[in-house]
Amino acid sequence: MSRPGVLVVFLALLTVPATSQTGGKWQFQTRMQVGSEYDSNIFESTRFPVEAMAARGLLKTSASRMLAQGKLALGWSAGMQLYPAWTAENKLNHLLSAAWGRALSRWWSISLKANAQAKLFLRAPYDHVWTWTAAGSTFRLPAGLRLKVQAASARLDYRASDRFDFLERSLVADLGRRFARRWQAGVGVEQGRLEFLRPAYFAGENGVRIIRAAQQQDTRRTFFLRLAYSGSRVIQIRLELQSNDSNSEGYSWQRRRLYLVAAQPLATSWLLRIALMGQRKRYTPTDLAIPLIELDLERSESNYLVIDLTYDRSRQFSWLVRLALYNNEAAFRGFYYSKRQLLFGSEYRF
Amino acid sequence: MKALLRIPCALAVLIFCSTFISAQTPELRTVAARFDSLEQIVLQHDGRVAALSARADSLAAIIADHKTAGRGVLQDRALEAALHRADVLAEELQAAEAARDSAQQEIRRMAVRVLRYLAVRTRTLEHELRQAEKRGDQALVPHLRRSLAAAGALRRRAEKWLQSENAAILLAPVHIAPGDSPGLLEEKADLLMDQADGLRRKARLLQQQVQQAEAEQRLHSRLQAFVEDVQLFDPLSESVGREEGAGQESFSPDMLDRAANKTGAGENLLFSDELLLSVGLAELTGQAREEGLQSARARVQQMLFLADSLSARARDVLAKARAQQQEER
Repeated sequence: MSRPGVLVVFLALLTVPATSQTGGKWQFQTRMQVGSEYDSNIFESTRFPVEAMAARGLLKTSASRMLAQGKLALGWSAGMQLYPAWTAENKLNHLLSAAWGRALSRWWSISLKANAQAKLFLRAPYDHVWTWTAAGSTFRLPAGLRLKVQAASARLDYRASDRFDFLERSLVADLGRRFARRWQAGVGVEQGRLEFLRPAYFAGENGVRIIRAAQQQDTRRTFFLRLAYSGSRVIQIRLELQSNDSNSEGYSWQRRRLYLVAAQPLATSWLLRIALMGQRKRYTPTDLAIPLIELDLERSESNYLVIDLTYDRSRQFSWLVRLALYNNEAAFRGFYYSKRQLLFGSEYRF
Repeated sequence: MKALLRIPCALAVLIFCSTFISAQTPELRTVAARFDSLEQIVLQHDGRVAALSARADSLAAIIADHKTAGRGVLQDRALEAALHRADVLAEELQAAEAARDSAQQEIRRMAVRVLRYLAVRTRTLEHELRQAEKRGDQALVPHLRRSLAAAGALRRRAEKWLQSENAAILLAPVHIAPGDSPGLLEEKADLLMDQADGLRRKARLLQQQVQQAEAEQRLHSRLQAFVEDVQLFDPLSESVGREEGAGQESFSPDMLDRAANKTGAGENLLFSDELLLSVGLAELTGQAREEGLQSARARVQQMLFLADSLSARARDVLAKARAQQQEER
């Protein structure tokens, strides 16, 4: 999506909160967040970290409406990070989302979902758009089981280069069941096919990389388990075993991944929220004769822990402190950079 | 020859289908008929209560006229007769209201049973329809579709009763007779006060459950907002539930019945079973549940209003008892 196009869409959406009070059947929610953020490594370097302060803002608007033919939900999130000392890092993040769902019977429902995220650098040529669309169907089975099947398509598109762009098509099946009133567990499999615009490589003699005639194609298989608790606190855990087979040498890997998100009210007005992702990736082959640079940061390994402590002054207004620790794989395979972010901010929901 | 053979085959299929139909459908018809008859009973009670209320209103107007008219033997007698009729009418009205409330309670219980039954029956019908469509059974398919439509209509009617804000709150009727002694009046006032306290306790309990459900909903919303933040500002844009699109607009999983699934593992157990049972929502589908929650809030208000009304009546009766005691002294 072009930058003017994105701006037009977002400006149009800006009018939504203004009309929210007269929404009729539409239900609107808006969330505004502003804060100051310390970043210990803004260029995500493995050896020479540069720290800086940034101003950060977020505006999220969502709207939903019950229709005769199901329910429609729309959302727009606009994020902004401004680094006064390092303007090349200034960027805008936009996430547009839409979902429609309809129950065809008590046992069968269908849904369509779409997301588009645009990351726009104000003074650097790294703009990119990521889109995701999915069509799903959920079935209620005997014994309280629920089966969800979903076909999805994702696409990454850098404005300045095709080298990292890809298209992914995937199918996922997820079988879940609620138990002990407040728990829910599920198991699922996912099969995905990624097609890159860049050529595939193989390692020739003397460490020379030879370009294949074909483009890079990866096949990804995922097996996952999930567990969720919902009550006075909310916990969601997902464990994944994933394998990626590529026709380009050095891009095949296996990994185990855990992610967890949780929310726990503490004392009155205090809320603790945690997001954790940890993964172990093993490349096959483990050693490469040639140095492999994976510049596609969209797909690199990510380990993080984000802890958020919020104090609610009222139902609408909160103060928040958020600490984020990252240990991510860098542009060079097997190298990692660390990063700490500390945010002090406030949030207004209306 | 083949054409000739088709006729008996078609007849055989028809006979088989008609047997099948007759074996399967009466159950649904029976349930619907029972529900119909209960609805008729409730409507009859409603009609009777409405008629008695109208009579009571007109009698109240007559009594008011008599009271404002000048005093005299004839007027006094007319007033006395009207008051007597009013007493009789009040008792009839109370009895009719109790019967109507009881019938409403019964139909609500029946509605829960009907929804449970339909949950199973609809699945069977859908299965049979799929099979019939697969076989290309033109005789059976329309019938099964009609049955499914009838099941849907019955489900909506049952849900309507469960969502009804006028759901009965059963109370033991307390009649105050003109000849009641002060002691008896005090006992009746205690009984009214007990009923008011009981209602307030129930209202508090239901209120707590509604608040818990709302708090849980808010907690999910706050967690989802946090996940969206992490995704939006993650340096790698590879975040929790990225594949599922954690930042996307989605529906609470209780909407599974009505629509789609929530992102990630977000199964929102919005309603505890106790709440669902207490407000009779256990069998309701997604949208109906949201409406049911609203109905529960209205029910809390209704119970509190009724409790206040009972307390006020108890105070009046107690005051009357005290006044009689004073007179006796």
